[in-house]
Amino acid sequence: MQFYDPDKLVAEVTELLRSRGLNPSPADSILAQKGACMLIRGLGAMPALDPVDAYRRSLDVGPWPDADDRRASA
Amino acid sequence: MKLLHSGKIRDVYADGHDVLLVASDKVSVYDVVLPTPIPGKGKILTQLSLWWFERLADVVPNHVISATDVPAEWAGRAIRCRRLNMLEVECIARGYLAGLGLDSYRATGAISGVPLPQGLAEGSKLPSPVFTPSTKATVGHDEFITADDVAAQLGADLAAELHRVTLEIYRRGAEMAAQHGVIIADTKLEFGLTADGELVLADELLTSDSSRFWSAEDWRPGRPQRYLDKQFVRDWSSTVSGWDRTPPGPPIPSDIVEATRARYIEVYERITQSHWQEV
Repeated sequence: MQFYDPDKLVAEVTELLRSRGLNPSPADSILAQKGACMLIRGLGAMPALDPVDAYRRSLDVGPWPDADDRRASA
Repeated sequence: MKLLHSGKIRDVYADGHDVLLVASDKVSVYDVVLPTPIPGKGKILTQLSLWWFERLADVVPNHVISATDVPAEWAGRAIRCRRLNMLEVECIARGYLAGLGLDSYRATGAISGVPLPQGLAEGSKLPSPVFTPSTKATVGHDEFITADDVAAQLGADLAAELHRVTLEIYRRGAEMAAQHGVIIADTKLEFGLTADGELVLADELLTSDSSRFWSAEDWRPGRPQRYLDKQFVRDWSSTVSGWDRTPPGPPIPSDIVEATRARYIEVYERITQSHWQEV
């Protein structure tokens, strides 16, 4: 099975659009992420993260209940 | 052994193709890591996680390679893990209303698109546990995504399997803990895929750093619930004059450290029904 990082794809497409004269902005990051995942799957790969990137995100937010409370109070 | 990243309370190392997750004794309250460690906390939570991985291995394979093939200095608080292709979805199961789930319910009457009955209060038990996935995307991750979003991202079959496995792990874990007076209100799971596409449970499992643990005796819907293990630190921190719950946190007095350590051990012993032995 082949894997590709959807966030990396979003960054690469952002750069591509910029090189074509557009001014892309992360107006809806979940939609962009969903679109990247669908494109990757449509091209026969699976959207996935390198474990170091994935754990970095988890470890940086600390205990999950704290993160969940923080999101609730944001 | 190469340090790949140092987080708030855990670190990740690489050893060849394996990944080592190493838990520290750091503790946080109100999202602030305090300067005083709770001796043994990293080992207690790691051993609890390993206990759950073993008990729930029939639900889904997990990433544990070894808990003993680790450097001596990390004995008991490190797990050698398989290097997986990690899914960009936090798989959350909620059996009670708290945190972002409560916030979403108050705003919309639903969580992650799942409608809930009217009249539930903070801490209420839900009619049945709900799957409330969230994205791990670097921006915009303060929102739930729906089961349909997960299906769009990962495909309907894998999304359905994540939904099923997440709720089954929560249901089994919550049931086992409840037998000993521990409410697991909710939990967050992470998954990855092997090179062959096999779904594997990763990260930590059903610890108080990945779940809300409440005391069944003290559970009273309609108010904030008391945490089973670190409530001593939370209560004490709210008495520290001048601390506004932002970093840096205050040092913890030794009697609070000791009481908190004892509580972590008590929770381990209640859930596993075995005597805590220093690893």
